[in-house]
Amino acid sequence: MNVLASIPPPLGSVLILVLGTLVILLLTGRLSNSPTILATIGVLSLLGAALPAMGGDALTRVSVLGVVAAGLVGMLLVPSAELHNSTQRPEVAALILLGSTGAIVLATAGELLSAALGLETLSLSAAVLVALGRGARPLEAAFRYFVLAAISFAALVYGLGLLLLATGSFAWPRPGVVDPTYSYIWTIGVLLIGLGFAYKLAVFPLLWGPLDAYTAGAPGLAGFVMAASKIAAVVALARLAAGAAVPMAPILIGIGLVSIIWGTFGALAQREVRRMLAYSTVANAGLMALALGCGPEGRAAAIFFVVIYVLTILLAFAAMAGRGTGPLPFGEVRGEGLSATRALGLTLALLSLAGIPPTPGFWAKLAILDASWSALGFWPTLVAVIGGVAGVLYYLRPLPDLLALTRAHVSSAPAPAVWFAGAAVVVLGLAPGFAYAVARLAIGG
Amino acid sequence: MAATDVFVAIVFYLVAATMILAGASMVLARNMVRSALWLVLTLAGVAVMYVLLSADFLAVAQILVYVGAIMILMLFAIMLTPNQVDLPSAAPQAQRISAALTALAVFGISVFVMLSHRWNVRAVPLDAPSSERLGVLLMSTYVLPFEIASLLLTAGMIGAIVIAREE
Amino acid sequence: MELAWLIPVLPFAAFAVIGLFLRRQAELAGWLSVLAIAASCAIAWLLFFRMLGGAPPYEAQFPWLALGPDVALPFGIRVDPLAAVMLVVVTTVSLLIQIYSRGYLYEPEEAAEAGTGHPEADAAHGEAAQAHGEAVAAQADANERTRGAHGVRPPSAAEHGEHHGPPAPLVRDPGFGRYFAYISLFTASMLGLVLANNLLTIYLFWEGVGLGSYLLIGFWYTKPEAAMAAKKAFVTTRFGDFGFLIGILYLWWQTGVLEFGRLAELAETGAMSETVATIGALLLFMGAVGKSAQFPLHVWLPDAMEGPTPVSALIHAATMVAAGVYLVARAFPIFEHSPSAMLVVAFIGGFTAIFAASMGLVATDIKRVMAFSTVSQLGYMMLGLGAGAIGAGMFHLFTHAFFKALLFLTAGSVIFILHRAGAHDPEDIDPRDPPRAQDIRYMGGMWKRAPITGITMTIAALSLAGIPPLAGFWSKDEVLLATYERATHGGGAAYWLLLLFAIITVLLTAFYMFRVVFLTFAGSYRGPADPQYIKESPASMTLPLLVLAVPSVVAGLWGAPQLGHGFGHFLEGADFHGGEMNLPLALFSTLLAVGGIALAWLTYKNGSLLAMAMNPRPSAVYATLLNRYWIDELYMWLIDTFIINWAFAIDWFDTHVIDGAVNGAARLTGSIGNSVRQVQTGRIPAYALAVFGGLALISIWAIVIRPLFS
Repeated sequence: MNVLASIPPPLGSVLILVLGTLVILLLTGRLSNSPTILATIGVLSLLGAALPAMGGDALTRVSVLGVVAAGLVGMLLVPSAELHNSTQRPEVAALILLGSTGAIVLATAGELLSAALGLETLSLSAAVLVALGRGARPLEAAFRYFVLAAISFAALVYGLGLLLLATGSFAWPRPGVVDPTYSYIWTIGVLLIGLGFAYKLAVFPLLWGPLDAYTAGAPGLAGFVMAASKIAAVVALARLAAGAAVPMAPILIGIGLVSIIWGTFGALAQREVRRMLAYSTVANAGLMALALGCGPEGRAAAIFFVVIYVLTILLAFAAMAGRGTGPLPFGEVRGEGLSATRALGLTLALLSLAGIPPTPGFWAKLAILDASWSALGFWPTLVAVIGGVAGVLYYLRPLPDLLALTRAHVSSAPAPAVWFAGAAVVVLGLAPGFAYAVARLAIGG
Repeated sequence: MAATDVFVAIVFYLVAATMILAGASMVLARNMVRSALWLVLTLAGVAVMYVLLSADFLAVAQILVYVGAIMILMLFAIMLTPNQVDLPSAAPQAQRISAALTALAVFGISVFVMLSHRWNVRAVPLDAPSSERLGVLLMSTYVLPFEIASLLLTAGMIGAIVIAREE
Repeated sequence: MELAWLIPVLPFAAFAVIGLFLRRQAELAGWLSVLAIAASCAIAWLLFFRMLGGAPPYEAQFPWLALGPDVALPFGIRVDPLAAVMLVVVTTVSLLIQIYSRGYLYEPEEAAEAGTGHPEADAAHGEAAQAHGEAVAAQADANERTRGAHGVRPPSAAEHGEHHGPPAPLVRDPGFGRYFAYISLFTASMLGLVLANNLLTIYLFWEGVGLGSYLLIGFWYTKPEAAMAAKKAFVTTRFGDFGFLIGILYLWWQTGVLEFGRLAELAETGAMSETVATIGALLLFMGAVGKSAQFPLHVWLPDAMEGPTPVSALIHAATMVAAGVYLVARAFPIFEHSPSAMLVVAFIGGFTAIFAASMGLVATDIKRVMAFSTVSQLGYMMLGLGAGAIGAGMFHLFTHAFFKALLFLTAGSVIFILHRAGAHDPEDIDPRDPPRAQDIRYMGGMWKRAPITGITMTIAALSLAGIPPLAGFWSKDEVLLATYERATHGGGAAYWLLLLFAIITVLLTAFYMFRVVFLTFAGSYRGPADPQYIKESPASMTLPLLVLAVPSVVAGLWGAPQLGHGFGHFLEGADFHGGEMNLPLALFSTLLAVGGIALAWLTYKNGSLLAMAMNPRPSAVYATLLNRYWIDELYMWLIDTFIINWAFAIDWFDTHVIDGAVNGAARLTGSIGNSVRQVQTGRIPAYALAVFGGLALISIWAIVIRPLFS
């Protein structure tokens, strides 16, 4: 008992996830024919991983619970995932668990070396998960995603080296510990590390790889990739920005503003739901980056935002799962085999993304706007408001078609993932206070 | 200045010059196999640098991993992709120019940072085998990252197997 | 008073139950919806009479999201005279309209089989006429020659013997259940909006109302015009909402409070500076301009008529569009604190009144005339508020809700009757023309055949025109009087101009309203349906008409100066200081109204000037009005230039420069040879370039430029 208690909470989660991975990998042959048992093992591992985190601090809790939520939705969708080769479901499940492990390590690691390795674990799993989707496009997109991830990871490793040179350790940067003679090396090191993390957030100019991956992969798996990456990246960037506000904060703000504009215009030009969602991710990542540059309040708002955003996007992808990897044009949503439950789930997700109160998306945007206003004043906030408000121009386009529930729909299997994510979104919308309080605790405010 | 210092300096400059030349040739070569071989030379130069810095373990690892494994992989990849050995022509003009500008900017920043920095010089050159200390560090201070790296490798392995496996 | 929260909750519960369980039980869904709103209506009236009896205002709220130890975003409701009046109006009108809808949402059988929904939704209806399109066209020439003496008389399909035998029997619209779910959602949001005690809560429901309206306008979403109109309405009002949201945040950041009561305190005590009040008020007003379709955001309302007519009556006459006016009234102390904001409100209102009325003069779609009229009347309300008379503005809102809902419902009744009688469109109908069943040029002679519809529409039109002692007269007179008072008491030249606008609008209003009445009911039928099948609508539709006719006549008496200004005293309590009636002004405006009606009679009694309305080459003024001053075109151009082009530029950049245009080909081959999964790499060098270029720029900034400035 003593030994167990001495393990730090995130490490406990990691160990349980690794155990789950091992079980699945050892039983690959048997499990490939029984997806339900496979998903059950995966779900149990994820739920088990959430337990030790409850004993941790707020940051651990937010990160682990967020990643576990992403993993759960992904795992619930494994039995119906559109795979190139359907005997590979056990490997997919194992990769979801490994990816979750990577995301948890990235968000909660005590020093940067582990965080970097966690990030690369997540990247690799993510790329493979996308690649396994049905058709040729997923492989293509995954390859691009992987190469760009490698480039940004190389930058990150280089940055780690510079940071080690400047501070003599891999510790997270803290203000005031740098020898002034090393300050340039330190600055460049921090910037390069930030670039590595920012790739997972998919801000400008690091957006193209993730954009393709989110669009082309099997929806359930792409949703997991997106959600786990976002939450880990925001937490990691929040820690980096807290310790190195001097070069990071203004850069995050600038990148955030550019991303908001780029993502908004990009999304406006789209004619199908998946790529529109991918682009809007860029705009939302911009909002988060902007908030991360706005001091402790902003970081709290960013974490609050990412929790809500991740659940919403999981709901959207869960609703679209099971109907293939192809595009979902606005006007033909109805004809695309979405059952009534899925259509309602997607509607709820789109409303939340558009920031229509009382969906949680509204609160999330409000928190970021508030932080941005108190830290930056009028103009940056105006850009953020415009970006947020312009969201309805594209998010709501499929709505009338989605809601015309009188038409006969292709019925699909019951959708536990949709129910799970949908319930989370509804609860967060009606009672956002708890999540916000946890977010504040997580950044130590 | 001791004779060894002079020797080290001569080797350094020779190898550095070779690396720059090899790097440039790699970029400019029109044939991918040649490009790859130039890269081998550059990476081998890095290994020599490690030796000069008394980082014996790193030097060996550099040769084993990069010059050995990765280069072999690259050459195999090139050989197995037919019709791609000769690059038709380099990238479009616009891309070449912007690439050159970007490279120049990155180079400029690196030089600026290095020059503006007051480097601490060790009084006595490091002259002990480093592998033992590295091993101890990996098993003590960095045991956690070391273990996480194994997860990374697992993920990579699964990925390689599932993507390569035909149904 | 504690029951107030039930008022929005009941319709919302109806929405949830219908949406989740009763989508296919149409009959049950309709009844549930009606029942819920009836209960809400009863509670609203109960509260209203309590307030009338002098009960104190009731307020309750709880913190929703705590953004810090002492900062909390509240959710709360407030019942005071202002809210009570609105509650009564919204629940009553909504109840009547839902009853009416149960009769309205039926359609001739063949349209239902074609799956296009209600014939009003069916842009391409007229299957029967299609086969005879050429014959109709040929006959048109003949008609023109033979009937030259009576002006142009459009050909009647019935005369060509196409509609022998009774028209197809009616079946229920396939979206019946969905319709009641939407309308319950809308009503619930509207009631929540009315009850809100703070800016955040009102914004919440404000968006809900917008969403409900979006869904209802796009109810027949398969019809492209309806989908476009829904989008246009949502986007245009969203433009205003954007200002509204900033306004809420601005006031919150400046004062730290969101509750109307506390904001009013700050404004009245002067704790809020005039600058803050001006900026805050104008930003809030942007939201009101969008929702209440004031110039320059009025463009969505005429198009919103693509929705079912009861929806137009509910949303675009009585309730949602009034939300803007209500918002200004709610935040009135802030506006009052800033004379410049008041002037802006008055000016936008006054200008919109005359501007919209001018476009109403030439519209030929019966519903669009009503829409322009609504915009114009909302302008009156804004003018009243801007002149400083909250009582006048709200009083006009109160009376207008009844007679305008009645006008829309009678218009709906006319359309319903003509459809049922088989008023199909010819195949070669000009796409700019409204459907025949909605085009007043193709109506006439319905007075005898649909007497209830005719009488009630005439009553409503008289009320709108401002003929004493009908409801509209009293409230319009209050607005004119308020403007006059303001002009004479320090308002300056601007208010005199606005008074002039308002008075001219009286003439225009009477004219265009009776143009509709005479073209619809007087003379003989000119449309394509067979006149023998034109007969009164069913009781579920005529009953609400008759009920609504009562307040359209008497509602004004409550605020009549001769009867003690009941409305003003109720609304404003001790603050009210209504003056006597200005008899010359009242007399003058009445004369103008009568003059307008007479002019309409002379012009349209036998369709003599109808020729002008059909002239293929109308005069410049006429064309300008018909094209709504080309404002839609201007907006489209602006949007294309500044948004769409940019969006496509970015999309093009990402797909061509970054991804490489060759991807399409690669995808094709990849899908053919699936066993050899080809990989197209895109332009990874371009990606890498963007990444490293960005990094270089940021580094230069961080280590070179930034230190220079710090």
